[in-house]
Amino acid sequence: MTDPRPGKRGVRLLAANNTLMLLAVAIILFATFSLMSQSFFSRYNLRTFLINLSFFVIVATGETLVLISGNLDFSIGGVIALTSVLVARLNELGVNIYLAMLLSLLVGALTGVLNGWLVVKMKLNSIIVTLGTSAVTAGLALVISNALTIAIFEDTLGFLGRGTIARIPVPIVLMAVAVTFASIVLHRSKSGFKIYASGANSRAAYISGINTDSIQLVLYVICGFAASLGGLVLTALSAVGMPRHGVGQEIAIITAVILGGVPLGGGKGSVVGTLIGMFIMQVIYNGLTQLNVIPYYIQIIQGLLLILIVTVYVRSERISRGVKQ
Amino acid sequence: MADAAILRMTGISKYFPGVTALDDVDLGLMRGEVLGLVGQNGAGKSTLIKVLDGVYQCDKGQILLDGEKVELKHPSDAYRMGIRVIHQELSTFESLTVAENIFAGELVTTGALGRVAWKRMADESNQVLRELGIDIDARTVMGELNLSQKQLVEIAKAIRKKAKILIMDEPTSALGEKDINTLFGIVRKLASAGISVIYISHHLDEVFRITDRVMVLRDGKNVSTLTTGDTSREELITLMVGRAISEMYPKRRIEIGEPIFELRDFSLRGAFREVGFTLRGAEILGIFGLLGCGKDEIIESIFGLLERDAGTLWVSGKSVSIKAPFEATQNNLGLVPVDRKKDGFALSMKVKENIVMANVGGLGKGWMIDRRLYEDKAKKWVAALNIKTPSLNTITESLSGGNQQKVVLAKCLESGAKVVIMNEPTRGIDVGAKVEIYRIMESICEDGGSIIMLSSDLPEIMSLADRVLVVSKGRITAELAYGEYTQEMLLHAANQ
Repeated sequence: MTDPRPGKRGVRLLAANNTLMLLAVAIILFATFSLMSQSFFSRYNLRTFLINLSFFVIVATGETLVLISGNLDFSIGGVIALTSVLVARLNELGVNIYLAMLLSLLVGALTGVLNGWLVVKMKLNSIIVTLGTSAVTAGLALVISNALTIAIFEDTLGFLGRGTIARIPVPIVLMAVAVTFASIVLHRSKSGFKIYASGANSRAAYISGINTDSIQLVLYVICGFAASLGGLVLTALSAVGMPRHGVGQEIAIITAVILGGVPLGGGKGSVVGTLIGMFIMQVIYNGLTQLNVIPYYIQIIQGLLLILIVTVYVRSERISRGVKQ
Repeated sequence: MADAAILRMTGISKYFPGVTALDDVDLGLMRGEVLGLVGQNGAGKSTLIKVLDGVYQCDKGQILLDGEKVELKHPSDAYRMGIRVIHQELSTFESLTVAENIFAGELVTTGALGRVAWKRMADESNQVLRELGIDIDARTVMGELNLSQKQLVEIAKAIRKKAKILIMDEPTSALGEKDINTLFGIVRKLASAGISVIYISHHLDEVFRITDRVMVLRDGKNVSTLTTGDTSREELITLMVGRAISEMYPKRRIEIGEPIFELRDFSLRGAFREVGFTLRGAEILGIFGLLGCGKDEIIESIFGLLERDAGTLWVSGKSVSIKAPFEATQNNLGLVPVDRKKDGFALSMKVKENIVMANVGGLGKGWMIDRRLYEDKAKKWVAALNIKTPSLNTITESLSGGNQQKVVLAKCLESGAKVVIMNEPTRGIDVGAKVEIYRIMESICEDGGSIIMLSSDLPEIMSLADRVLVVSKGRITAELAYGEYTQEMLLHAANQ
């Protein structure tokens, strides 16, 4: 087949490389803020920035997998809160810290099992189900903590937030491991192929002998586990178990995943895309904060940027497919 | 002669970059005539209709309507001049009433406030429906109607106002035999009322039943226009394909082997009862039945898509339990579903991805994918089945229907299927691609595989199947061996 629109080849090349386009946006934003604000490019701020980013990316990695497989998970915010409160409360009660951490990590995994079972076996809508479990987990966090902040000064847990491995802060190491591992699974493994196929057309994948049910269920468990791990990191960083940790952040995380190139409905995208998407959101937040912009405006700017980039995606998708309108 | 013709298109040419879609095509349409328009996919049928409908403007040629030269720059021009098109995919508003659908875009209003005249619209709609002999009340909500009723409503909508020419694009693709008869009754009624109909169809038997004349297009050129009564199926296919029909169905020279697959006492309440049959190696077993007879449910329950109430399945002499499709593929079964785009492959995935989708486990040792093996497998099937694609990385949606179907077949074969179940293997694909699919079926049997084929295309199932099982009301009513039955016997058993 010959290309009927030779003049648009350049546009289509860019369209085929949404990740590159996104990376360019991220670099431009980073450079701009570095030039505009001395404090942004300071060693201290960059360290804080990267550690914050790590927390978000660890959680977003799980969410990315769920979205690629064609579902959504809104319960991650509630899971972060419940995990955070639970580990602090168990520590307060004198439970061995390793056991406390293990039990707290189970919060996410079990919520994932419940989400997956309701979505896959009971065939319920994933948005409704996870909004429900989000309310339940966030509510449980309030019950356990009596809506109060619980201090946790504990070095074993603290290591997850404040420790370093080879002079690199632990959250950043965890982020690197999560992104690398998920990328290898997605792009190089048989399971990754099945995840993309489940999202692209779950019925055709199912008829082709792919066990789409168990794939989607396992991804919910992984997503919940990642959220719990993020919850522990956040608790370690702040040294408090707090029922407001994570609540509402599921929106920011899902936004970053979509910004990073996973369409609602799934079948496409990458964890590296999510990393860049999250980076852009955080650069804007951190950079504008350093420039003393009122936080309300920051939210508006982030929202507008999301709409802008998604518009570019949709247009470039149409150009590369040759669809008019 | 010129006065009898309501429409004359002469010397129509249409060029797209790199492609000549129409090359000096002439079309004459008489008043009250049903003209069949046939040709393979890509022959130029749709382009010609779009020129007539004002969607495209022709680069050369002219259009005379009632002897006067007209310029059709936009679909609204065509509409104003009485040209109506009913597309293959219906464009109905499901949540609105039949009357609202019939008057869509042209609501009747009264008074200075522009109140909508609901009653008048309903009455007028009912009148149009009655004139056509359609038994539907105009106040019914569209979503409650079945597919064929919706189609009839579209016809009512099309002819309500000053229609002169009605163009129907594959109107029967989703209809059962009874609905087709109703539709044909209405088409005849319209023709006798002086409306001219252009009828586009892949189903040649329909073309013979309903049209007065038939026009054949091939590669964007006029091949011939014939009086329907003076031609034959063979002649039409020869004209469409540019070769003789004797080459269409593969020659039968494959030795039937031992039994390899058996079904015993399959039952599912409300769908089928006590169904059993044996399939032999290298055999093509046809299953024929009317819409809703239960044949689709039988194969879905074989494949683990439906849970049956009773019955056992035997593969190579061993009883197997299949509760989900992945267990079916493990037992070397493959399915080519009837709804290719919904169930057959992922539209947004690459050709190579769809080809290996049913054999991800075979893409290398352990849990990693061997990239080279992956590419080699995809390459092998693209070559073996002659899949016409710009590259292995092309998005499968952009291929033609025939090539999409070959991708689905490649997927089945790559999974190592020894028993391939094909539901309507050539639905919606052109004659040339059909022949290729038949050759692939033949080579599956040569390689020791077997095929269960469901088809509503009579000549196809009669010439390809070694045996045909006829299903009616959930039971097998006849088993017919190749060459030992007639079309009438088949239809008789299907209506039992």
